[in-house]
Amino acid sequence: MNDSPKKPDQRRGWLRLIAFFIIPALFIFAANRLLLQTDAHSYYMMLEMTHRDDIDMALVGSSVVAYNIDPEVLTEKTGLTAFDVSVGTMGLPSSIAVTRQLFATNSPQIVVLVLDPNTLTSPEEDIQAQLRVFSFIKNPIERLTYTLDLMMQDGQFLDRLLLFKSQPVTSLADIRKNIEIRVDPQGYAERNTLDEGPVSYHGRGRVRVNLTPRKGKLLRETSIRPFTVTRQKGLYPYTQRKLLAFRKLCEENGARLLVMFGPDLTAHRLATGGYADKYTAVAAFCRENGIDFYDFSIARPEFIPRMDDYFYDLYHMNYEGSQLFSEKLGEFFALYLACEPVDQLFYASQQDYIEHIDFITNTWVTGETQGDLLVLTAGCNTGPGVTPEYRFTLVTADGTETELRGYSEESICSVSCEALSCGGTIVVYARPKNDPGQNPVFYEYPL
Amino acid sequence: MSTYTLLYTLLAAAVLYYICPLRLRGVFLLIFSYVLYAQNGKQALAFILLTTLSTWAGALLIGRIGARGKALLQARRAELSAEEKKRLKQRTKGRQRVVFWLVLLLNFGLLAVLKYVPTLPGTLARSLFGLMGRADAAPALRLFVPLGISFYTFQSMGYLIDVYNGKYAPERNPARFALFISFFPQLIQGPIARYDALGPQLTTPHRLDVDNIRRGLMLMLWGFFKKKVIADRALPMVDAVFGNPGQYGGAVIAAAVLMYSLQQYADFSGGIDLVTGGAELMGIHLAPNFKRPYFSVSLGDFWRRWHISLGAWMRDYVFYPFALTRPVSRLSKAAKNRFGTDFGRALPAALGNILVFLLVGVWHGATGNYVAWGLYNGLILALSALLESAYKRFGEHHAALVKSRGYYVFRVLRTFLIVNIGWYFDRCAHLSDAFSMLLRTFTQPMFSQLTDGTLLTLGITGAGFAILAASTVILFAVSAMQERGIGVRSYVLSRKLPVRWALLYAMILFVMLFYVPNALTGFIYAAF
Repeated sequence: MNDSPKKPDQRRGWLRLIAFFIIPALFIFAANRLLLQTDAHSYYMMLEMTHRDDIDMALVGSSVVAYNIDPEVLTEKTGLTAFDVSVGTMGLPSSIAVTRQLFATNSPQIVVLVLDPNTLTSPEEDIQAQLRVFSFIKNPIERLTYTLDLMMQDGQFLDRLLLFKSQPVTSLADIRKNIEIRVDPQGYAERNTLDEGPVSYHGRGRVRVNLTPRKGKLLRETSIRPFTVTRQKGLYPYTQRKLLAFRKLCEENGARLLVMFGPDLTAHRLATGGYADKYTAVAAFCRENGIDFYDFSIARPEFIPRMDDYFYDLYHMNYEGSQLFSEKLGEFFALYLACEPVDQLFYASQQDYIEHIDFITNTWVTGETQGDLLVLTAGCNTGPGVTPEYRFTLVTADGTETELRGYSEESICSVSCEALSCGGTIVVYARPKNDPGQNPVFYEYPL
Repeated sequence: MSTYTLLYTLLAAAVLYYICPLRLRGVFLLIFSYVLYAQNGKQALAFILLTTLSTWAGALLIGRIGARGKALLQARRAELSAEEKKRLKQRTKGRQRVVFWLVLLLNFGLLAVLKYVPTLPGTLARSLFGLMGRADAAPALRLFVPLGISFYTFQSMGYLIDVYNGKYAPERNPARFALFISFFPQLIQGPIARYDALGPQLTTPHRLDVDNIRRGLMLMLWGFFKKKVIADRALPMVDAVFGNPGQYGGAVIAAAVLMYSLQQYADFSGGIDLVTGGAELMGIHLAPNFKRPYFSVSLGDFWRRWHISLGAWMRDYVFYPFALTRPVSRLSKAAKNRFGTDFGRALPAALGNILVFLLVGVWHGATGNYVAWGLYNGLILALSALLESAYKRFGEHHAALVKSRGYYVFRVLRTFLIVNIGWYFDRCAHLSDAFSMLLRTFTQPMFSQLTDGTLLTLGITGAGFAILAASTVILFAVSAMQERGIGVRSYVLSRKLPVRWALLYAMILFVMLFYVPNALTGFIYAAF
């Protein structure tokens, strides 16, 4: 074994050691700016937000804000300049960090914190949110405390330091984009129109989804089915702390705070055991802590019609749906800000809402071969007071639909394999037994 | 404790250590160790305190009995006969022995109850209840097992045995002793330290030294590389194959065993490097626990290079005392008379090895696979001991061959094969799985699974395999350097600055780019 080298002069050794770490630090600094993919929508939202000083109403939240709420409609309805402070996957820690940046240049009268239930299923902040928000936190101390807070929460301190590893650039074009968008954001916006496929950025944090409505198609194709998620009941202590911190931030900056949930797919709360718990927990927490809270997922149908058909994925509405919801939200705020009563627009609780569900959200069927029979078992998500009845048909390649069995409460239908030998698609229809006039929902099961 | 948590705990501790005034640095370490350990709950704290206090008090009492006996002997030397002096010494030793065994049984008994009672074979529990016609009512006993209990129990009992044997005087200061037991870097997975080597280091305040910082950080980087680039990357394949062995042919099983040999080594030694490097930041030098075990030329050599501190503990406190007991000596004599001198001389070592490895197997877990693994190693070592004289004669007759490079390579590969066969038993959850996987390795290889894409369904991508291969080459190169007596850290630090920095930056970049993210996996040996 070699002897240790001659002991270095301490002072020179320390200077070299410090100098040694400067290069990796610079590399990480540069990599976290140039080598991770820039989310253009978040970038432009933040840029616009920090260059404005006229925001009266800020809607803060994840992508559900940008996609589902049109600030221009809110402005029209309330007279307040509204702005979507929206960053994809953003949870409470990042919402606080971003809202601080908002208050640095704006003095909104009201801040609307739009909670996304998906960000409440774990106390840990998605790393995607961090890498989108990080570079916009101007104050280095704030940046450090924000990052340390996230690291301490989930222990992933290296992953949160080396952000570029989470969403690295995949081509030189990505690096070029990173440089251009920072050096000449206006020029980049003009050259690229910020259209990224079916979505486009429209200013004021708004993202427009250009897909055509998919009435019922999402639920048919996605087929949200019952399952139970084992999660901690109630709110995590960390989540509670963050909600209180958010309230404090608004109070310190003279802004009213309103916490809300937006509309979501009804099927979620019917299919997923424990799904509604988070809503109930937030409602109770806000009540206990004197925070205004409204749950638009349980708005009465006379106020906001069922929005299920306007969702193009599990959480985001298409343009038509977002316009409709924004109109209703604007009406709500007009009343709320005028101190008019608004409680009557909502059901009293998630449970109350569920009990009033008198429709079937979606249906599905599974098939199992037993001997020479194909045993079809249908299921559906529906309110507790609804008795579903099912109808089974066979649609052949030429479009001919033959009924295999008429409407019945019986969810199982056995068909001989011989009868299905020509192929085609099994279609199951489901409707409420006590309201046969309702349009049935259906599901296609290709043979 | 995840790798990240260990890493930042060590770094934070080092920073706080040097912020503390010099004379309070030992106190800081004690408080920090206990505060950290208390995160595991009050029960865990209570158990470690029980072991600490009982061992400290027991050792002190043993020391006092010995000192009193000595003083009495000294005072009455002139008036006592030789027989009376002998009886006095025996009485003193007898009293010491009572205290010794009480403390030993208390602590090892606690370890046995907490670790092994809940894992009484289900069949045994069910059998007992079955006799009463209520097999289904066999309870599943759940007991709290404090983190690191094996390690700190072994460490404290080693101290007790040393004091009892008069190796050194007992520590009078309970705080110093408490720090020795609870010193946080080594609590999870060792190394198991000796009091005379570690104790003084902990309480001697260390000044900030840039050389310690550099060397400590380098070792931590190396440990992080092994754990997060190699071990965590290899883990999915090992879990996939061992979790569902019936699905794979012998070739894939063999590949998984090789992967396990890499993963286990990288995980364990990587964790030890992190811990050793972290301690070095504070000027504390822990004994090495690994010495390139896969370069071993025999199974005995392997166990002197793998988990060195446990091997040394077993050697000093189990093997030698056992081999030197009267019954074993008598047996050795009888064997000498019947089977010859060589056999008789080797028999105590052979029996000692079987006992030691049975204990090591049980230490891993009181299940069939671990017992089999222990017996497997013990029997091979026993056989080696008994055949030692034959090996020596072979060496004398074929000196050139034995000294040749080819023979060295043969021995290394042979040892690697023997060790890997043992890993079948070590890694499988059930003994029957181990046998069936071993059988299938040789009887149903299904070589096509190595090339038909099966390997890519085991949780490692093609790129992942490439990174593993490159990392293994780096690991091998560094190990080969060390095997030739080159201290790698010293080698790097002695290069010119640009070369030194280039090597270190290359390593840092490699680790940054290829460490397995989002995997908050702990360490394998923390479970023991």
